[in-house]
Amino acid sequence: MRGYMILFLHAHLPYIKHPEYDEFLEERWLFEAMMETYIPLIMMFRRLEKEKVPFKLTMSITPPLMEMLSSDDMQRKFERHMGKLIELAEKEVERTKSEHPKKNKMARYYLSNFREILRVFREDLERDLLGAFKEFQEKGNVELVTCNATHGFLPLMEIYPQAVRAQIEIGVKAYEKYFGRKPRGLWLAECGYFLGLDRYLAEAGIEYFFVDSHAFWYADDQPRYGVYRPVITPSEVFVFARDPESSEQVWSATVGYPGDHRYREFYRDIGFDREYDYIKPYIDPSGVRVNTGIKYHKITSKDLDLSKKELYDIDEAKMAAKEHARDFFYKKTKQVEKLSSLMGIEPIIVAPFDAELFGHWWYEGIFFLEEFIRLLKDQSTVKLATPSEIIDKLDVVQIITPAASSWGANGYYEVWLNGKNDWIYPHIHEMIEKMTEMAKKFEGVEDPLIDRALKQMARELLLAQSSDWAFIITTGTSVDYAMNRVKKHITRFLDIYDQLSRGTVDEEKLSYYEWVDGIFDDIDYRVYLKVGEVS
Amino acid sequence: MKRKEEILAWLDTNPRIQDLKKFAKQLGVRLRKSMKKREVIRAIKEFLKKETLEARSSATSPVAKVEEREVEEVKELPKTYNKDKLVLLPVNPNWLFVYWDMSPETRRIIESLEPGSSVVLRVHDVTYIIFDGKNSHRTFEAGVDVRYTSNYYINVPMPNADYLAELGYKTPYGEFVPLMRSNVARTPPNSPSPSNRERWYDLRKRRKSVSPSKGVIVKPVERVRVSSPGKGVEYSGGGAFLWESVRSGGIL
Repeated sequence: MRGYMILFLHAHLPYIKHPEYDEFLEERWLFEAMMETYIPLIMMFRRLEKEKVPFKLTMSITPPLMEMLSSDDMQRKFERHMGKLIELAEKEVERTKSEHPKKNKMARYYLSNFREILRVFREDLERDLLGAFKEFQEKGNVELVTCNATHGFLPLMEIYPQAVRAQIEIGVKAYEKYFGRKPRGLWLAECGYFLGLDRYLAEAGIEYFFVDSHAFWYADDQPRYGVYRPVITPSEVFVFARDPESSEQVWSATVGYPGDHRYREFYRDIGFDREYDYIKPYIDPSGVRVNTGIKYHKITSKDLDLSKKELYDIDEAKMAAKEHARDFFYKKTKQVEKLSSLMGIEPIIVAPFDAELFGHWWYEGIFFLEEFIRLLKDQSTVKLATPSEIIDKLDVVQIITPAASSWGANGYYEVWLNGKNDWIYPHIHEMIEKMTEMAKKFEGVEDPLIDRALKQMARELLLAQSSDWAFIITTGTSVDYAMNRVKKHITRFLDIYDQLSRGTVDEEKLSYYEWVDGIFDDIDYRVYLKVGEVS
Repeated sequence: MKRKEEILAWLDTNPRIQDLKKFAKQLGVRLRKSMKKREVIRAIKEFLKKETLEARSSATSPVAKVEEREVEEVKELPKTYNKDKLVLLPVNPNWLFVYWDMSPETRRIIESLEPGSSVVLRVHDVTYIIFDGKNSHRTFEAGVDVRYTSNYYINVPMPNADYLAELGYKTPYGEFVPLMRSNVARTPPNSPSPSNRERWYDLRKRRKSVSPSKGVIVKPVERVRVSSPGKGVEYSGGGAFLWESVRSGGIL
């Protein structure tokens, strides 16, 4: 009686690189994720490796994240960010001495943690985070998959095959560039799937992808084993579906582990608590207060006013993480036992999460993961496996076409298409048509400047398509930034289009756009010529 | 109040009365029309004293608005691309989104319709058929004022069905004249398939087979939408709470 578990971490941030600014508020999203999730994950891998604890994880690193993590500019900015944070932590160590022993304990913890993160980044990893993930892929511990180019929500592109192709092909190319081989799997942004998308994936050589549970439940044939075995589509791409139980246990707002009262409170940060003059050098240069990453309070009780939260204790929180890891391990064991006796065949449990849940949002999430992985060591009921290992061993598989779906609220497309953000789509569709028009018009023309202009048009289009902007506009945080981003990409695109139509490219302006929206250096816009549906 | 200090500092810089009043209004401070500058400042200060940690709106400070960091001007986006376009997108199993744009010629046709005509949007259920203009299973119609509207959300009866829209007008005699036709959009399904077959693929022998289904062994427990009085609809779903905080980078 045994089964497999695919522990999947989806690492993604939209492209928020702003070389035109020395410091830019949204770039902190990346620094926070690096400091609290990506580097701690690598540190966890290294600990497990050193102690000979076997582990298998699957991760998607999205192309915008690949581009940002490999950028010298972002690496330098991250170091500077950490330098300032260490300076702040040093001040906090002094300051909290007279405040409370618990705060002082945490201040000292942060100081040594930040120093260690920076040291690992500089010395052990030589700033090359992607290289570190790649190394663990080559060792067989981590399987890396790609994602569609800018995390665009594909179901809303269905009517433009060339746009779907561009998202997939460019996502595959980015992976090849950074990881030196072809990706076997692809994570669809937001698990957004539409009927026929599997054909595009097959065309790009993708062997497997992931969908939400109901994509199997409402498929054209009913899946004999529910979501607990992968299926294959008629175009011969394997599909894995999310296990609803694992998701609920880990990230439900109401019953999930991260809501435990002992865990660190995300929203109470000294960036907001300390007096303005003191904190000013460590928040956004415009004076906008932001999270610094130094937090002294615990959740205490979810409904409690932020000002009434109690002081956090990391040892107490680590205990909670251990308890939760044991609970999760117990539940997975029971689930596997139950499923395998029911199915008479090894169940495969797919548990995908946003990577940034672990460490960034749920501060103790990495301890939890590590503890869970350690618990798996001395037993044989639940085994971690990668999707490739699973499909390579399959003998017989059910053929199913999954149902159109996503993992967003209510399971379909309304998070990315509703009264707040629907204004985006007429522009994006027009951009796709204009992109194709220009790619066709200048097909075979060898003019370096026109080539650069076409490349930049493709970049602006892809960046405007990031599902993140529509998502942020729906949820209501950082709305101004997201709206601005969409509008800027549309405006810049149309500007270049007008220039090309007039036959005069403004080189200086183009250089500026290339600098500020410089994703995918070697992008091939000719993909927009492939307008036909896959046969 | 997260930028209390900033606001207090700003109040000390002798701002204009108009700016003070505007800002007070943004904050939600109640003012009387006759108030002098001194009184407005006092009212703002009083208000700030009452503020708690919780009020963390970033839209209220006159000092450091996020948008002010932007240097490059964002132009108004085009209102039309002057092309005939009718696009239908699925939203969920029961809703479609349709938007349209028009060429100057089409606009002229609509502007010069004879009295008694009306512009209408038609939605056809074209599941498993090739639409020839009149063979749809069902046809739905809604009036449109194209001067003020360029999109609709359409409530349709069938999940897992193909729909197609037409924008056109009705003559005074009730005849429908289509001006634009959309793509076909399929609503996503929301219930298990009635299919009773199973297809299997033997990967070793590379052989496919079809057989009658022996039934589903692991039955799903499907999610259901719930609501309770006083609580709004949450946009969580897939990733529950973390969507908002993580995807937006944890910035409030």
